[in-house]
Amino acid sequence: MSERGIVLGDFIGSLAGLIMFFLIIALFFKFVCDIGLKVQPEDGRLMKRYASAGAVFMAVTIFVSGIIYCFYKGSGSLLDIKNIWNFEPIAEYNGAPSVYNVLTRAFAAVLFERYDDCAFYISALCGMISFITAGFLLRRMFDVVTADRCFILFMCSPASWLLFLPSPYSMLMAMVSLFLYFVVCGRKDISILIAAASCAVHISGTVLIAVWIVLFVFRFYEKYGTIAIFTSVAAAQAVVAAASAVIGWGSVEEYFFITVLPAILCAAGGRWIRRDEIYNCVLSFYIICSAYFLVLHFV
Amino acid sequence: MGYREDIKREWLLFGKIFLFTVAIHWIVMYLSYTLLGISDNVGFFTAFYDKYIEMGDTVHYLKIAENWYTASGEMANAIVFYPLYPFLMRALGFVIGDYFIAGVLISNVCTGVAGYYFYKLAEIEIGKSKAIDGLLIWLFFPFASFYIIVYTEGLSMMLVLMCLYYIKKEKWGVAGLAGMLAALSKSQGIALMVPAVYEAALYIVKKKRFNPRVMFIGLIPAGTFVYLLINKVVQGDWFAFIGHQEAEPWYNKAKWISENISTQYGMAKDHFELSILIYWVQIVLYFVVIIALFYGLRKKISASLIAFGGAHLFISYLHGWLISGPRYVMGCVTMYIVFAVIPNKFVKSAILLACAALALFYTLGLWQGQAIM
Repeated sequence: MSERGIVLGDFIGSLAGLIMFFLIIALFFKFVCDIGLKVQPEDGRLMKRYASAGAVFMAVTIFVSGIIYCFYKGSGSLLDIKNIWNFEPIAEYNGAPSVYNVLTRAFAAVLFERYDDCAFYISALCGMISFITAGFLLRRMFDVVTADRCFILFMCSPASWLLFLPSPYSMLMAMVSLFLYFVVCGRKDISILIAAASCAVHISGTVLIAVWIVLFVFRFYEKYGTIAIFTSVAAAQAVVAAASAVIGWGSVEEYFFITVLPAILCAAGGRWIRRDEIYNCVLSFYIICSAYFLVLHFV
Repeated sequence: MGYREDIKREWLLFGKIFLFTVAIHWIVMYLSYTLLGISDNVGFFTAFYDKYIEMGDTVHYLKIAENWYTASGEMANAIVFYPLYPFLMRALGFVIGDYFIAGVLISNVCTGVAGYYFYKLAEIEIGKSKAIDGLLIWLFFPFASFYIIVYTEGLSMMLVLMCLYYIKKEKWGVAGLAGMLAALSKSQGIALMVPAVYEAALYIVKKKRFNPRVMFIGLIPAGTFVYLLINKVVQGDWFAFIGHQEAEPWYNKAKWISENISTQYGMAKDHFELSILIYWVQIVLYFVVIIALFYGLRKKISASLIAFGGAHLFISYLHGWLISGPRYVMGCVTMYIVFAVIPNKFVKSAILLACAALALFYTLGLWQGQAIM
């Protein structure tokens, strides 16, 4: 069989595994709803909506990445996801120790040592959590039109493929989204737990601890709202990014991406988001930057 | 009086469905035989006996029925086959004097009973008229002939359906017993634990108290435990069957679904004839069934049934070197119920017609000794 055939076979196999994975998630959610945890039908619809958007975004990103990869490499397959996204085998991951690696190894032990598949599945799940939580967060804070526009901006942000990339950063972003959601809901207890857990996932998780202190101990959230969230995240991340750059951990995209969602929350309060001409310009700029960063990933 | 009338009506229904189920399978078997075009004057039943007594796993079941499992020697690898079916063959064969005919009788009786329980389960789930549609697609599934020959499929299907039905009826003791026996008849029997736990949890939440009766679902994994115990007693290792499965002639090492499907794709590209009979069928069936499960969720089929379907498919496709995928998938009860809720009658009829044609095709393949197993 040709190399293209092998890649296609691997792709079909991976798709089969991924669909089974999503079936398990869907059934778990259904079970949770059936045993009566307080999830409203409206929440279920929203969850489906944002999960679908996330799934479509992931598929489009993989497809576009495939085209860029094949163009840059001169040959190859659109479906060669492992090389396109340049998975690091989890055993050789270079970076701060992470719960993500531990989880991947644990699941891989169940799934017959398929480390790369597990990394992909876990990151895909984290991506879904990020999108769904961001969607709920935006709906909670803004009206439908603003929330949807912000959600699209979030999806099209530069380096948003980090949300699904098989690396600890995807898990961090899921925790950032959950953290912000519970901050906005006023749940200090849950948000501090998430912040603490995120430290075990990625070095940038320490940013959330600093942010929590600023928002709730110094009560900046009461006084300044979303501006406080954005400035505290940006400031803390600048420090962590500088330290990481010196040590040699992470990438440029990882250094700034954590600030994207807080920035959107902060900026969305303005009237500009409802003005089509301004919104479309901003969105176009976002898409161009995203494409640039995507190409940069391969160059 | 009313109660007696109900019992009588129920027995009548059972009789009709039993006979209809068995008849359809034998009609397909006979029509395929006629398509075979055998010119010598061998009667149908003689030809059936001569052909199917040496087919595939039947040989192993007959040897187990005759000699039981052995610790060493040529027959040591027969321990990969679950014990309930050959045990019943041995018991009945002792009475009638022929293990093959005993196996055929057991398969056919179990299949007939399975038809009744399928209908009853589908009736609870989706109503009477759609239950008939579900029954028809089950009867005409392309590989349904395996239900009436000397394979464990008929017995396993009956026990699975009984377990699912009694779970729905909240008769936990009977469900547990049926599930235990199902787990003793086939490896996929343990998948019944998923709907059992699901429905037990809902039952406890609904009643707002814990009922000790639900603990009977613990009998389901007990069936698997008994099988492992047989491994330990006969060959000194709880998991002796794994070693035999991984060795010749099966080379069946458990691997993750993705890897197995990728392997199937590779085999399909390399072996054209076998790809039509086995490999492409298995790949396509996997995706069809899993999409059907999502569709079933959308159509509000019980999540526990969907979960059973998912668990069954999951276990079936963990088998490396998968060559019996369609036969394994055949036991996924949920897909027949999902078929029954398709709203478009034209689509349903087209699928049913296609299945009936394929049922003839693959049964003909069985007669011809093709690689359908």
